[in-house]
Amino acid sequence: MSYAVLWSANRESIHAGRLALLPSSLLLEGSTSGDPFRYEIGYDEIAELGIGRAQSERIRGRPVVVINKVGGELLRVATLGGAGLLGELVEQVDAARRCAGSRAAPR
Amino acid sequence: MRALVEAGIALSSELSLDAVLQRIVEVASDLTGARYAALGVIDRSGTGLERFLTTGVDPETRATIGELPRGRGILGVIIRDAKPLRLHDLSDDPRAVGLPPGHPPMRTFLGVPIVLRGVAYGNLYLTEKRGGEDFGEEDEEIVTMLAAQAAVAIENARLYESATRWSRQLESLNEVGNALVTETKLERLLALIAERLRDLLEARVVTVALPYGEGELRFAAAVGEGAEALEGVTTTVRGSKAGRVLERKRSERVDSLIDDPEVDQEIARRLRFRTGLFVPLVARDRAIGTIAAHDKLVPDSRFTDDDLRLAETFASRAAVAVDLSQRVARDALRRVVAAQELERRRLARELHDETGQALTSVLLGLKAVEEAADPAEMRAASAELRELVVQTLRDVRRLAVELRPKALDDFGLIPALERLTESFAEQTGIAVDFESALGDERLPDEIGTALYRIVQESLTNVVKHARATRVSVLVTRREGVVAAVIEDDGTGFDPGQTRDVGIGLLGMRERVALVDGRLEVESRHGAGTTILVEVPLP
Repeated sequence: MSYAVLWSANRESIHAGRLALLPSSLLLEGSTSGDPFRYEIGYDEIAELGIGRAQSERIRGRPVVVINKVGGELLRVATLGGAGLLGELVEQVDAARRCAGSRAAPR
Repeated sequence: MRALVEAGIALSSELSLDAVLQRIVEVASDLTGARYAALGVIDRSGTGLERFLTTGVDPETRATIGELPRGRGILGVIIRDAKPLRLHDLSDDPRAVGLPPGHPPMRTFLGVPIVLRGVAYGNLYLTEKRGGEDFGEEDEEIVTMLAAQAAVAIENARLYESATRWSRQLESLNEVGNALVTETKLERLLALIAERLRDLLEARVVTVALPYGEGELRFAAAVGEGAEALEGVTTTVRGSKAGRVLERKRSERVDSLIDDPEVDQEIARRLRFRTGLFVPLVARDRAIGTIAAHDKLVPDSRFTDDDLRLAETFASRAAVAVDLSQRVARDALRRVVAAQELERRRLARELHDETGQALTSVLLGLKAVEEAADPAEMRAASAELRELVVQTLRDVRRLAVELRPKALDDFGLIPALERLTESFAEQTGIAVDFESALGDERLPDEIGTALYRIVQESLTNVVKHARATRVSVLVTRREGVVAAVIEDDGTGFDPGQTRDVGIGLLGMRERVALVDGRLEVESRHGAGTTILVEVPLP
């Protein structure tokens, strides 16, 4: 599953690209002004996940998924290309985290 | 003997059956001294002659005689007894039926059957030996040898005919088989099957009827003389032979349509059908249509058992085509329904999570205004509330545009695309060049919507996959076709390689197919991607 997204880490520059849900991690890739980027977060690095609607949290007027990483890094992701994708993205990331957690849990 | 050998060598140099048989007749006449000689080849039905070659009778006399011999009398005896026959005087034999008016008188007679491996192909007979003599044993031996050569020639010709017919049938079946894989339009496929079958059966008309609504059949394909009058016409299952054959799942031959009470006489009369061959299309034990052929274009318009077997072979191909088409249509419908439900689910979630939350916040904000302790607090609470309402309004408008831009309905495709591409560039930072050569022309809604969605999906794919810095969108019109080209300078891909991209393209192709358009994707790694969509205008 993948989504067209805008994203920003720690309120730095905004990138446009793709968010993909991999078995153990969340991958952001794309390019900004022609420079490619790739940013991967393991699900076990996600401390908190929610939706940000406040003006200060939005990216170019769009509400975002807010991901607080273990260690304090803040990632904001806004979806492009359709209504209702934000809530779906939160659900999908949550489900992927739980799935990865159950795979990693000691038997 | 020498003359016979020379005759045999001469015969082997002839190419056509008629030429060979004519030579045999002439050689027989020459070698026996007969004034008249004739060779008749019985047709496959055994009821008449398919060939009749003569020597000694001039064309005017032949014309005066008129119809060909029918194998009665002495000629019938030769075939029945399968033995040569020599007569001193034809008219003296009690089995003779006499000569037709205008026929030259004939007395002395020698007739030999043309037989090979027990199969009687016809007879070779000579009359009026010169000098008034009777035909002798030597004459009989010569003519018997020549008749044997004729039998071989006829059998070879028939084998060659059969081989050619089989080859044509195989070619046609091969063509239909290839079309099953490549042709996506059911009507075109059925028309091809009907046309090939019509050609092989030598039928005047071939039709394919498919179920239509409750208890009706519709002619989905009709080829042949006057058949265009049947396209799209409906008949009832219970009131037509095609329908009854569909119900019974059993082929039928009708030698006289007018005498069959199950036939739709109105349709038969409209196209003056006399005979018919009806075969059900059966797929997975379900009858899903009927193929019918009418009026063989030969003196006897009735169809044969071989025709029935051939039609059944074609019917099995047609059944595969119809079944596949119906399954593809059902799958496409399932996908459409699933996509609609997914969109509704997302919309419901957005309304509940976003809009519902925002309105709840508005209520809380109003409460804060109501409960404000002093004017300053009230103003602060009002300002915050106003900001919230403004943001909520923006979100609702964004939602509405994402669902269906008002500009598309109010102003048409070009203004809607202008806004889409502007918004895209603002949001993503990817530069967009938008150009249109349509002017103020408004396209039909269906086409405008399809093109809008395809451009929208293409731009989403650019963000997700292309890593592009620039996209161009061009909309043009030429010769009754509107075209859109979306080109990016990104990384490119192998079309169909990446599953995610594949799904996006599948949706685009289905949208384009719904408006009878076509979509082409050109892309290579490192060379960007170009999507071309062309849709015919009504």
